Amino acid sequence: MAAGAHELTRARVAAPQGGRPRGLLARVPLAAWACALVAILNAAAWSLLTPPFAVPDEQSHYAYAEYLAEHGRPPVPAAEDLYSASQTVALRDLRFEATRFVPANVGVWTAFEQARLQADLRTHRERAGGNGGAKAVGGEPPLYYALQTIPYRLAGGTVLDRLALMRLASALLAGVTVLFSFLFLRELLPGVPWAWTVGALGVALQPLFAFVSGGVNSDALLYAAAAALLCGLARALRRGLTPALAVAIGSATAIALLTKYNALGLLPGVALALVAVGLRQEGALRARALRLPALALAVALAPMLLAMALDVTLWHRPAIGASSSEFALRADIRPTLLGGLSYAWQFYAIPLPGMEAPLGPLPFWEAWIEGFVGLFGWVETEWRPWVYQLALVPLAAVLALAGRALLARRDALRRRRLELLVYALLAGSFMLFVAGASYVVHLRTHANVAQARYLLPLLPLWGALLALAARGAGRRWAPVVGSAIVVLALAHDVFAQLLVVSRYYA
Amino acid sequence: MRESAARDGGTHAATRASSRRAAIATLAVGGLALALALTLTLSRASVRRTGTNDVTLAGVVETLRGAHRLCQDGELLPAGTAAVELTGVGRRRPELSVEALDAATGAPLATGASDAWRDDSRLTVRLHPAVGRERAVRVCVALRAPRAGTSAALYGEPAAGARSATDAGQRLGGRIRLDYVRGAPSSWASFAPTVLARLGRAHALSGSAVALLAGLLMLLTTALAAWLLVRTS
Repeated sequence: MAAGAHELTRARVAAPQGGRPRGLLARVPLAAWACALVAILNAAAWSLLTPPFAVPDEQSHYAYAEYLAEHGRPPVPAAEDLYSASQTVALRDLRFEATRFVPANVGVWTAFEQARLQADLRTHRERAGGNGGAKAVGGEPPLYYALQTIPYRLAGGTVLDRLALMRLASALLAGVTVLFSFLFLRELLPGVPWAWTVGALGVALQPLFAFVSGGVNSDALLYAAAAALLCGLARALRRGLTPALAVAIGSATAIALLTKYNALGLLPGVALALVAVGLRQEGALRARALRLPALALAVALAPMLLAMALDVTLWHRPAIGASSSEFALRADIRPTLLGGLSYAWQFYAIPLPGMEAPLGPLPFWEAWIEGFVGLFGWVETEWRPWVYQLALVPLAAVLALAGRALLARRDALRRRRLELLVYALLAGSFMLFVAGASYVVHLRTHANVAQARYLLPLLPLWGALLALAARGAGRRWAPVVGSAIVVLALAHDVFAQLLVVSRYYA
Repeated sequence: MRESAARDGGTHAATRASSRRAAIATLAVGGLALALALTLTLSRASVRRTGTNDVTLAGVVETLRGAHRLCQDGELLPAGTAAVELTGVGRRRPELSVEALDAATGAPLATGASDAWRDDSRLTVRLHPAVGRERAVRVCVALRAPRAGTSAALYGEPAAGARSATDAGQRLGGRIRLDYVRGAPSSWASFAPTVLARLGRAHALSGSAVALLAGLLMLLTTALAAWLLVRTS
């Protein structure tokens, strides 16, 4: 592929002075918008193919948004989930309990069941009952659900009408994620515009991402906020931190923190990255070096602190909702540092000789490889084992080519080692947080709750790996490898959709 | 200087054209491979389900021996059903008979007999006649020609009251798993109308609009991604 910017990857107008939103939007290349549109269309297709409430915890996320819309306040965490009458009837007629976790069971197939569902949806319209998914997600922050009250209200009608429009709102967020992934890649690999498209399309067509973003699930907003955050950090690392950029990074972090408590795992990485950038910018350890990082962190934390104050005073919820869930550290469990480290190691790798293996011999394979290649529905819709083994071939090829690209540019890599360190720190702190939360649940329930979707806030880094792999093929083969990566991603996506169709409808 | 710039520009344009050709060729080959893989997948034949009673396989509900006859109310026999699939374990190759009785009148709607149950945990019993339209039925299962030592353990889940299956009027405390299937193996392609109809249920939109819209969205996704790739090469 030719070096140099093409009209699609170039900004559409000359860069205006200042950072006004219209000017910023005009500087986004057309290719970035097109990649975002691919993500929206793909997630919208997934939203149609996936049966209602077949995305993990979708019934609880819907209940939270419904509660917020009907009561004007978030739910209070409780020991069980209670649904409104309209949702209870919908779940019953959809055979929700019979079909989730049981691949052999199916949903509404017959005309009789469909007629009963429609009649019940029309008859049972009560929406104010229930406790808003209080057990599963009731303690989570309210931002995603506040956004979802808009399509909930706009759709009107039955539970299924509302759910369909809410799913489309999530699909729009998939577009935001991919837009920021593209811009992240633009900062990361400024000299290779075509690679931005390869990486961003790889993200847009990742089936697990599209599946989750095609459902009502707060992960969709967390992915978008995390992609914006990575984009902001990449920009700061390449061009320096300005007050406007500090506010932007802080805002992205704030959105993530107000969306899901998992975002707390991003915070150490963000703080260290900002401090590192500030110090590099000042060239010495002075208080002035921390001015902009402090601004970013203040913008990041202020909304969360405000939400916590509202939780305690107005909404009568715990200040941190997670403290009332099974993720909380309470007296009934005894976590240890060594136990936690051993667990975290096994969470992402394989047990070492002499380690206790509470997660089984190869948790890494099931949770991360199988999960990323594709476990859909309630993590029970899976391919035959050989498909996951076959997927190792392109995965290994991508890793090898990306490694080759990095090796070939060792000098540039040395110059940009701070960037690498920041991304490693960000990914590391987030992964450690997810492992830590899982460790607490494991101590309490002996269950492994790991799911690949929890790591998808790092999806822009996957896009970077794909872009690097295309580049690693060398100038001559880059167009072939880049196109092949996108075709493979598309094939992966299409066959994943067929898998879901065969699971639920055949 | 101007000549050199023109030469550079020409080289650049040639490189770009070559990259674009390579991208188009890869997309064409990849697209063909994808189309071929889809065709092969969709043309593969297998027996398709018309429905299930959603009962999980928690354990043995009853072991049929001698004149035992298990009956289960509240079954919905989907349209197009030509056979019933039972799950369990057969000892000494039992043969089973299945009867579907109209839930309201008790009149037989379809009956069937199996071949000998071999090692597989599933046994298919063909029904005659095949069910034309959806019917609420009572399903009864028995050994066809009981022999000494022959038995069939049928799997299902615990169930109480009227949901429970019965044997000679006695509640068994459980309900057996039943899968309803079409008669002959069929390819995905020939099964497509049924899949499209099912996709059109339990959604905000109804009918074939759901599948058509999803298909259209994926076509747009594919076309846009391909266009982008070629244009940015």
